Amino acid sequence: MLDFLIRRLSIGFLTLLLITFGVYGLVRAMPGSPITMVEDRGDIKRQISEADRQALLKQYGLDKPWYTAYAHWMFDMARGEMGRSFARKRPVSEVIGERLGPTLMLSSTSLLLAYIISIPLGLLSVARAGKWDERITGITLYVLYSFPSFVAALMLQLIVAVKLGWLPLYGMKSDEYDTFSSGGKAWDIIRHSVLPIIVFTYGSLAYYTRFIRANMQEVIRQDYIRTAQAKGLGPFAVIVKHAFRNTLIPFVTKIGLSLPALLSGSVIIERIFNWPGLGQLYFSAILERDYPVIMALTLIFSVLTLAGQLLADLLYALVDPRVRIEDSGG
Amino acid sequence: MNRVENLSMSTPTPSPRPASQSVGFWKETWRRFLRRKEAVIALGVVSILALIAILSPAIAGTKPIVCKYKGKIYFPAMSYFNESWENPIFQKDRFRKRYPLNLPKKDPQSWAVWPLSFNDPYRRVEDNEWPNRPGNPRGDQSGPTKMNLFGTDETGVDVFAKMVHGTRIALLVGFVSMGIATAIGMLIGAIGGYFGGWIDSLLSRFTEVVMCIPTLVLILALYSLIQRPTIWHTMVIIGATGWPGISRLMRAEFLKIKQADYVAAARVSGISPIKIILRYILPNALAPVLVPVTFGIASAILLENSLSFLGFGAPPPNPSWGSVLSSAHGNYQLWWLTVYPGLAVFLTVLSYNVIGEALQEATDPRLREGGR
Repeated sequence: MLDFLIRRLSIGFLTLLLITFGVYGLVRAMPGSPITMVEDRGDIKRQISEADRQALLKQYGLDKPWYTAYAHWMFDMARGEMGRSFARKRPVSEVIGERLGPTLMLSSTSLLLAYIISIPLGLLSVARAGKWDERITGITLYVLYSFPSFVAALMLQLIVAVKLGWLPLYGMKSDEYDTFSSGGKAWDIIRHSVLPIIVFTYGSLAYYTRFIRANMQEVIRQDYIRTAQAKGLGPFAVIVKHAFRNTLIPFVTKIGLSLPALLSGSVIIERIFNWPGLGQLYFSAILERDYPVIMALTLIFSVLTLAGQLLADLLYALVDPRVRIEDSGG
Repeated sequence: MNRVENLSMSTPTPSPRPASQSVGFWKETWRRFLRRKEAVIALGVVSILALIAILSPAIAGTKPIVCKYKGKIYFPAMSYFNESWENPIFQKDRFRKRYPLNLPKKDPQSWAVWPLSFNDPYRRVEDNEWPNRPGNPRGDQSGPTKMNLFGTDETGVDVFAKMVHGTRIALLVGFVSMGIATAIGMLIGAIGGYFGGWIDSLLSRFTEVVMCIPTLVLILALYSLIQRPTIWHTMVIIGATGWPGISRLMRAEFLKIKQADYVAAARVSGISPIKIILRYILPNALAPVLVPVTFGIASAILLENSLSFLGFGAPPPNPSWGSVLSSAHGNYQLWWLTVYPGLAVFLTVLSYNVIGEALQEATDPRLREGGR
């Protein structure tokens, strides 16, 4: 077990180095630098003299070749220093920290909702397999699964916000947010988050439901299910207690794999709803060539992806005694 | 003894049943595929889209499909496929892409066959460009009318024409970028899976790194390296970033198949590794790859539309569905800019997903229901 962990962690560490190295090379290869990107906005007052430019380059560490700069970045990172954002002139940790809340608010709510709704739906679809209501929900979910989320976002905005005027169009807070009482503030944010959460959730609903159904169909053919039915248990007890419990193993690994999705958010959805989350920050950081922010976010996403995979494997071994972790390769 | 004879007399000796011609794997798959009604419908939708894409200049455009001009036959509409296919004579005679009035003016003997809808995907149709046809409306009065079936955008470009020509982009993006991704993925997966050892570890690590790098960084970084991006660059970039899934699947298949006895036999008889890979293993590894490729086409189309929506992709005027959707963002009064292209993207993605699902069931013996 310990051997496995050490091996996996060291391979993961190596992969992380490769990823950050690759991304650093890529973003430095992109034409333009944080300085020229500010100048490009056309403001003549922002043009800077050659001497100032050199000073700035030095200050940002851009005068060195990119691999040396990468080494500097890496050692800073190892000491827990994320650096300062070029475009926002503030520490990266602060910039990311203030975007973390809004992104987590959407992703965790939507993940939770997806699980809460898809488990009963999945079980129901097994219990009523072949009946008309199961077919209709199945088809509806499949259609929803194929519905592009950014199209759904635009259409929801069009119908719910513009035509009906029930919910705000975009943003996270109203303009007069500061004048609200604390209850009013919470209500305001909830109202703003309804549409993004719907857009984030509906696609994964179908995904999880089908996942549960596929696993259940395998289990439901087992002998012990027939035994349970034969001894006169009701359908609820058979499906929930005997069948569903035995599909929890793949389900648990799914939770591990959905870890990165918690933070990565979605650039396009956050942009459509003008939601101040990490996805938007990432996108604008790339456009502004804000290297420290890009690198910090890349590192966070990669760590989460790799950690999610590791967690899935560990959980798998934890819940399924048949899996012996020493045997599975890295 | 007697009884036994009697028995055998009464029951006709079972003549050896004519062995039913065993159908090949692909034929069998095709039969199973056709058994699913929704898959056939989805295939029909994709075929219709392909037809629309091929016929797009004949459906909507401002250039004649066929015309006779100064004694010769020309096909000016073909220039919608490729700008340089426009015959130089029309530039020399200063048509300036305005055919309906110039043709009879410069050659009274000329005749022309026109597209079904006189609208251009790249620009607004002006007043009287076509005899007695008013120019396309702009702004708020630009909803769907008989003249502009799906309305026009802010600048007066016809949405129907844009979408018809955008079909070409959508289908091309799907096939070209997935073709590239499949080629790269199969190559890397096959090499890694077949040779194993350090080659495999190296390639696996590389695949993992590409998989972990956020797609957006990869795509935007590659994009910014291009001076003047066109739709072809988008396809190459989507293809160059979309292969890791296929490569991993391919590798797994190769790892499995190379253990088979027939491969060992081939190796013993001294057949070169390249031939073993191509002729012995690859054909048997194709079926499982087919499914992610089909789903990949759907996601490539989605990705192109998302990129166009974010403002990356071919520069305007680019008739991609995503760019129409992009002009819808913030223009909520112009609902037709959201609804029609949105439904088009949805329908296309849905069709490919349904086809992929049906292929999965048709090719994977584990998913077949017993006894059929």
